[in-house]
Amino acid sequence: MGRSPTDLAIFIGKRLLQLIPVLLGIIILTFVFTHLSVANCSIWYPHAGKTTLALCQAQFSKPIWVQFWTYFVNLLHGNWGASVTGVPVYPAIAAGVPATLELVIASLFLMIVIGIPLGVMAAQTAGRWGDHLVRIFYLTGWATPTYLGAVIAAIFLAPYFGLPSHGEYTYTPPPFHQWTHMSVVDALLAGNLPWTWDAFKHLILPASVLAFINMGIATRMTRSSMLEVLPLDYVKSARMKGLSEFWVMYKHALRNSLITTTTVLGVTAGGLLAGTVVIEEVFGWPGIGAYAYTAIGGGGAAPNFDGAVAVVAVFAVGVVIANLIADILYGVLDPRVEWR
Amino acid sequence: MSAPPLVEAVDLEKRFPLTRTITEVVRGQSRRSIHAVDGVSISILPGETVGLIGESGSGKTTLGWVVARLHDPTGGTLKFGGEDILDITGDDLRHWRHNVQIVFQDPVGSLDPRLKVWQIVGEPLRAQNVADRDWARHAPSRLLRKYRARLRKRRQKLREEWKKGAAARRKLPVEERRRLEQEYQRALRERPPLPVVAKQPVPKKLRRAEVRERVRDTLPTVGLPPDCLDQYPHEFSGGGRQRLSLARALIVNPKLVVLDEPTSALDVAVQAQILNRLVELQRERGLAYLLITHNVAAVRYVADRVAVMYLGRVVEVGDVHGVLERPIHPYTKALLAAVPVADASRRRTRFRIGGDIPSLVDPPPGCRFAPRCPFVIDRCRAEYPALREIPAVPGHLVSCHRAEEVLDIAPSSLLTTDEGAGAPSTAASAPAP
Repeated sequence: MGRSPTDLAIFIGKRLLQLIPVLLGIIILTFVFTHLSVANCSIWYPHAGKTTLALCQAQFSKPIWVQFWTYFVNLLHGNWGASVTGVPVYPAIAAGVPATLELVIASLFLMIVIGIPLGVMAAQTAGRWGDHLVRIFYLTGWATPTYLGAVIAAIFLAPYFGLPSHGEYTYTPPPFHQWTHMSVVDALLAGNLPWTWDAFKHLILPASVLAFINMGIATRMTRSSMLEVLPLDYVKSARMKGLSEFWVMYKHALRNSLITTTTVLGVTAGGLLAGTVVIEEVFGWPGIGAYAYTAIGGGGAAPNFDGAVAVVAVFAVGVVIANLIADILYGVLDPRVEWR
Repeated sequence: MSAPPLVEAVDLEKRFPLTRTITEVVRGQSRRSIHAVDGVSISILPGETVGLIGESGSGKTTLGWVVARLHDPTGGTLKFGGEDILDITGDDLRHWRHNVQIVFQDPVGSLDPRLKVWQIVGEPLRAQNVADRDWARHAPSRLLRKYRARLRKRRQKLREEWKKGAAARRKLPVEERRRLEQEYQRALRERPPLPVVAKQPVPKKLRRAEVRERVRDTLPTVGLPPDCLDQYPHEFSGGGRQRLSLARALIVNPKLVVLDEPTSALDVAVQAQILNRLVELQRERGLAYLLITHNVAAVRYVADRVAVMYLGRVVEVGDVHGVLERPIHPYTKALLAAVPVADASRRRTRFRIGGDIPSLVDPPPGCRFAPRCPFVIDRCRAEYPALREIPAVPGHLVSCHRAEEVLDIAPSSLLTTDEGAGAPSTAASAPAP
């Protein structure tokens, strides 16, 4: 009930405790829905051998609550399950989540450093040409279907700008240990600058496409809340003080209109985690989205039910944490907000 | 009255253009505009308080903002300290800003809620410091710009004179004409010596500790404790916030403070405190105030002179006692009669001048008050009465065709009590045109 670091710690602790029932609910729901759908193993795994089919029958013929209990006890022991063919889920998730996170953070960065100034510019020139141009720009992004944007970028933009359009590195595996599974960070940690540059170039296209498609919401929110703030007296008094227009806009007006943008970016960031599925598939990014695609049988792969449940749970954690960060940022941005 | 005025506005005009509707575009009608300030001339002496009163929507706030260069006027001239300040733009304007400051009406909206007290009050110092540094750095180029502008003006004048004299020259003999031509060419080529530009010393960058120190020193002058530097504005009461606004305005030592209804959001006791503070500060520092308000009592208490605005025009200017005790313009009379008085015998009175303030969009010619005026004659509707001095009351300017005739009508005669409704009032005794 205040603004001290202790209050912040209590606030974060409380919100993380709230995560437990959310996770439990998500896991139960996805587990039940995915596992109930398995009536006949030979339909789901048409190309499986006899031993696999037998394993499958053994697992799925038990009552659903027994299946869930086994899964849940394993999960509490740190065992995230495995596909029917016995490939464990955890290593794939552990490698995929950081890769996706890297992509999402990069595109969020672009949305913030490009989208928000565009919103400021649109508000400054409201109703005039600058405003219209910005609107055309972000509506184009908004109206572009993800797959189309990704494919156009991969086919046309990649050769035009000489940018790579597949994978994290030109050659895999990299000649260093992947501590974090974030391509740029790993290369930096290894002190390998050529590989860092390589990883960075690989990141540009998928991050830009993801940012371009989702940028509109940040721009639009910034514009509308700036328009609410601009006629206020403290913006005029900032001008009276003799501040230059840049500081009037970015120190006084923008800072006071960032609350809505933060909210929206928090929600979007959670959604981006799940929204990367198509992008990762097109750009061959070894993230959790690509894993989710194969786990639900995309590209003709055998479905991996434990994997699907784990991916959904991870997405849920991502959404909750993104919103938690947005809530913490409210307090940072506005001294009147208390963390509670 | 011998001192040159600090602010001198002549025919100041501010219009806000309206967007044309589709029917207007189709009909080819020109763009209409709101005449917020329409040819106002006003002057403020150093150390003087000028009260600006009028109904809401009369353009008094717009005028205040124009004087403080928050709005660019669409016409007229504005001088500050004898210098035309409408030429000042961009970085020069930022540098000039310390001369005039504003205290806004809304004590909540005029303080950035994200900043601490020392940042809010100290920011003008920092901004002025930055502006001063820029100004000193760009001094040579600015001087050069001025020099070129002067040169351009001089040549323009020469050319015009040459053209004007063409007919007269044609009568002269050829040699004489040639000689004049050569002289003219030489004069055109001639340029005054380049200004010697000494490098201006760039002021030192202001440190955070210095800003805090200055703020700590300034807060007591507006009656705030000096130890509230790290508080946020929402921790203050309405009066406290208005004091913060005042401190923010005063910290750069302005010559003029535009007070835009500084007390209208406060309760009466706090209003009195703030007004007292303002008067004391004026005495200490020789500040000039432009007090924009609809609180006649405040004007009576603080102001030296008062200007009454109606629909973007000043209808009456004069010494505060002259205008408030013996108003001449019918609008001023009506305005003053509408001020509630704590007098049981005058209760249950009703204002006889009805109707609302008319639209400011392209107002018709003639006196703006004519549609509501009880003394209106045909001339009022056709011709705008210029602001003129009434011989009977020197120093008192009124814009009314019938000023001499309505001079002695008391404001209270524009009121009727409920009991006396319908009874002939003294207004009827105004001489018939």
